[in-house]
Amino acid sequence: MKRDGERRQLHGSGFETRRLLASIVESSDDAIISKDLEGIVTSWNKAAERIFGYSTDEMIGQPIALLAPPGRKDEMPAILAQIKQGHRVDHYETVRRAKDGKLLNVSLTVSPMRDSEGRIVGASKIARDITEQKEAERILTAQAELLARSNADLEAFAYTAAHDLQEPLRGISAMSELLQRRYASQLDEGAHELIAHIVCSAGRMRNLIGDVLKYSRTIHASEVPLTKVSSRAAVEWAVNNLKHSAEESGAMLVIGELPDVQGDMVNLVQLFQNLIGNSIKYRNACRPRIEISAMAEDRYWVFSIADNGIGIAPAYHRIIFGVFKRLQGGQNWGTGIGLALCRRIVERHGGRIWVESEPGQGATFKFTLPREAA
Amino acid sequence: MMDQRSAIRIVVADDCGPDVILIEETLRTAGLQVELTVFPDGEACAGYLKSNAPPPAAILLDLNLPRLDGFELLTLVRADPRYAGVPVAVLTSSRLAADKQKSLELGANAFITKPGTLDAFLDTVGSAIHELLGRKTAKTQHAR
Repeated sequence: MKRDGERRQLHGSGFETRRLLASIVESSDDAIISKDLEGIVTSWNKAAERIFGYSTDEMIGQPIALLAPPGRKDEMPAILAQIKQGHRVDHYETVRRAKDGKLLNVSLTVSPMRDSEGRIVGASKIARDITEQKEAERILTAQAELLARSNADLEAFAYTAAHDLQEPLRGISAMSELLQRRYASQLDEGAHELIAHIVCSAGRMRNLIGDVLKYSRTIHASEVPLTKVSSRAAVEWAVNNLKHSAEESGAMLVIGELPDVQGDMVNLVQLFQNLIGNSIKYRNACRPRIEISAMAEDRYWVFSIADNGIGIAPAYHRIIFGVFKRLQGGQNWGTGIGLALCRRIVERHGGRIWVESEPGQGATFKFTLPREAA
Repeated sequence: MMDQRSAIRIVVADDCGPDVILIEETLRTAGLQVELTVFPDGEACAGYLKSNAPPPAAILLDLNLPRLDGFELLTLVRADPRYAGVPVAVLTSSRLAADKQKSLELGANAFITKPGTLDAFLDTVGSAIHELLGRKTAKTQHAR
């Protein structure tokens, strides 16, 4: 009802209309200014007073160029030239100087004003103070850069540390093996057992370091462009790498139809190898059955590796994808990097990975890869 | 003939004690009668190579060495006409393609990444040394 009343007012009387428009201009948070084609200020609202510090009396009749900081003087004639041609300047981000000398980040929208005959006689200008927004953006960018740098440093550190740790480790394992061989007849059973422990621990350490290196190489590889590859070939390659443990466990593999995807072949082989390898490793008493398939969804392929193994309690469904997270202790189990590496690979390919499982009910690992735009 | 065989000498620059032991074990396993002259330091090795010592049958260089690295030693060897016919192998823990390329460009005859296990080391380094010494013989014969 009230709206109707207002509309009637707007249409009804020219005076009322002007009063209403004037009150909108005055109550605006943005500076609303008008100037003639010479750049002389003809109106100046309250927000303009607040933002730039000049009162209406001080500004009316003055050149708008008063607000341009050194180095920005050329902008104003350029804007006026646009206006004279009837063009509008939209959300132009620049810097203006307030009366107290403070520099402000502003976003300007300048439009031509015409007289009753359609001639361009000046410009209206809306200036929004975006200083705080700019500052927040700057802080955010600086923090993101800092974070990226510290991540890169950490990754470089992990790579170097792992690489350099290999050296002395190679010495430890080769020397203990040599000790075992060369002095076999002179050592008693106890000594042999201790050496066997050294060799075994060194082997475990080698696997760990190898996995850390693989993990950090995935980052270094992220500059390699993704190409069209067959996910079926990746699975076959992975299965071939796992031939020994697959045969030993008597695993039955059911491989469905698998699509071509945009990917890094080495990465995808590693991904399938880790997931299928886990299905074999975490089997229960019965013969492992592993089903690998892919389903097309809207924009993604959903790959699934389903097994009939020991399963994983829901409480662990998230943490298993973290680095060095293991649910099984002892020497024969994993290094805790395999699934972290899987997540890294999937994320690098623009997908996500998760698990659906209950203890004793097997586990189904699923991950998505973007479908090629048809 | 026997005299000549026992006089075969290989210069090794490697600061890793276990690796030197592994090289010795490799020679023993391969049944090669070779005398090793070992330098755990690049500068000491350079000093020896610049002296009037007779040229060895082959040179094995690690890349990561104190004071003077393997690349610098390799440059020095290849700039010295006395070592023109001496085969040089880079024996390193590096598996970087860039290191391999640089080594070969500087004139190394072989680039061997030290294998991680004892048996692999004995195999790989054993056959590499065989090949180096064979190369030496072939070259010398050809020159004669």
